[in-house]
Amino acid sequence: MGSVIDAHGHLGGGLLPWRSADLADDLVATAAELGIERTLVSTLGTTSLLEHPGPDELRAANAITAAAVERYPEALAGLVYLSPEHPRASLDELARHVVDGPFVGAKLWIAVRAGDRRMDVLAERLEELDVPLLQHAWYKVVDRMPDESTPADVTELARRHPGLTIQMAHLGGAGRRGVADIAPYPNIVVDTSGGDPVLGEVTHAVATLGAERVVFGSDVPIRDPATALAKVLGAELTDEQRALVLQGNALRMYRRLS
Amino acid sequence: MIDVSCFVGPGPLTSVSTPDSLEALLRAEGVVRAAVSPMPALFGGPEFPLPSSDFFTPVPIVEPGAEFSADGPAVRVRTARGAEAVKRACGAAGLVFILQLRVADPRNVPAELGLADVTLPDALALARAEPGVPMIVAGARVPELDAILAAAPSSVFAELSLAEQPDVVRRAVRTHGAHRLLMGTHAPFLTPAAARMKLAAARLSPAEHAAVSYRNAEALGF
Repeated sequence: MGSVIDAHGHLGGGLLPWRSADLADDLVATAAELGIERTLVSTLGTTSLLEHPGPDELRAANAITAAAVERYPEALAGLVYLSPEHPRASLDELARHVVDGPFVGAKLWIAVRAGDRRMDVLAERLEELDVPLLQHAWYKVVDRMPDESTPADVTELARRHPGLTIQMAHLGGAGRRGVADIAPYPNIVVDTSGGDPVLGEVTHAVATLGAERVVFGSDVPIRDPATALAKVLGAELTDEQRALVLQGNALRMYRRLS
Repeated sequence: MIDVSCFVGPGPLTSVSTPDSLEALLRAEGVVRAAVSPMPALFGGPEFPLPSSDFFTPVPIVEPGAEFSADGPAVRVRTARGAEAVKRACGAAGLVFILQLRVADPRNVPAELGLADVTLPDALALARAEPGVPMIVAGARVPELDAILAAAPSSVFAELSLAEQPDVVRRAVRTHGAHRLLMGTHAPFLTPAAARMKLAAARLSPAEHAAVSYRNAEALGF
């Protein structure tokens, strides 16, 4: 196994370190032990995960990511947390951290659904910058959060913005239905995070979408990166397919990584 | 590694259903022996003949209130209601009592499959009952595992297939001791690579590693 890029991790948000007093330290140390060379991180709130962050909260959250990326520029890369409920502040954050800073992409969670027209202003700017969007999505039977996107919502965004590269989070929450939804949209890549390490999930996604459209993501520290890695290492893939999922696709999508 | 928690037979959530295919899957991830329960019994399906071999140890799933026998060292229950009597009977028969807390993430499976979780209070009550009877809590998440092992006698063990957080095995060993932990794969619902990777990532001492990966299971008769 060569070097791995984990395209989905988090800092801040009230998430706790597991070895030391510092979440970034633990994330970087654990990743290194597992052969994960780089982790793409976002912060969804300073002390809790904020579903509807205000402008000041977006700034404070992204400052946590920026500080960690500055400490670990080789091991971490930043995704700027945005909210379509605050387009002006979000565009400012995009300018601060992506245009003028080292961040490599953007992250949206559940402030609005992905198909909402309020997404367009941010999507257009991301397209202009050729910067990918990490968008949360899940098909939940229970415990669905208000304004939580489904894969079908993500396809609406992808259809309106064919030039935007979307990393749809949570293959484990999308399931086969979600994979089928996104199959016609080549600008959507699904990440392998979400839920338990279900047997066959990654194998099916690669067989359906092609290895170029599946990217490794752990959702660390919400999930265990070792277990997340097992989803890919335990899948029935060729060496070439596995290399794309674990590294090649992230390098292709996130041009600012290299 | 001895796998104390896997399933075989036809079921709606996996395509791996035969003993041969399950054994190949598990052996590829370093499992040398596996305690296997019938998949159809999880879904109210027909009886399924459990394999018994050098590799597979049969563990029937028992319905509380029904008579049961076991060819192996343990039985498994999927519900708390009436399960205390099963645990008592296990004590009389010299069997290990396994409580399967959950089978799948309820967010992702249709409710009509009937895969309701056992609640933490019910699991705690069962763990405290009949303290002389060895019991394994299977399918617990980390908060459940922590609560049960902290409150239950040392005859209660936990397998770690559905427990997940960074450094999960190492933290469980530090919190509860290696002597109370077992490895399960929860295959074929989950990839057994996950159990192998969790254990490999744990940075345990050789003695701790041996205890968690096979010695505790051997001591329980698996």
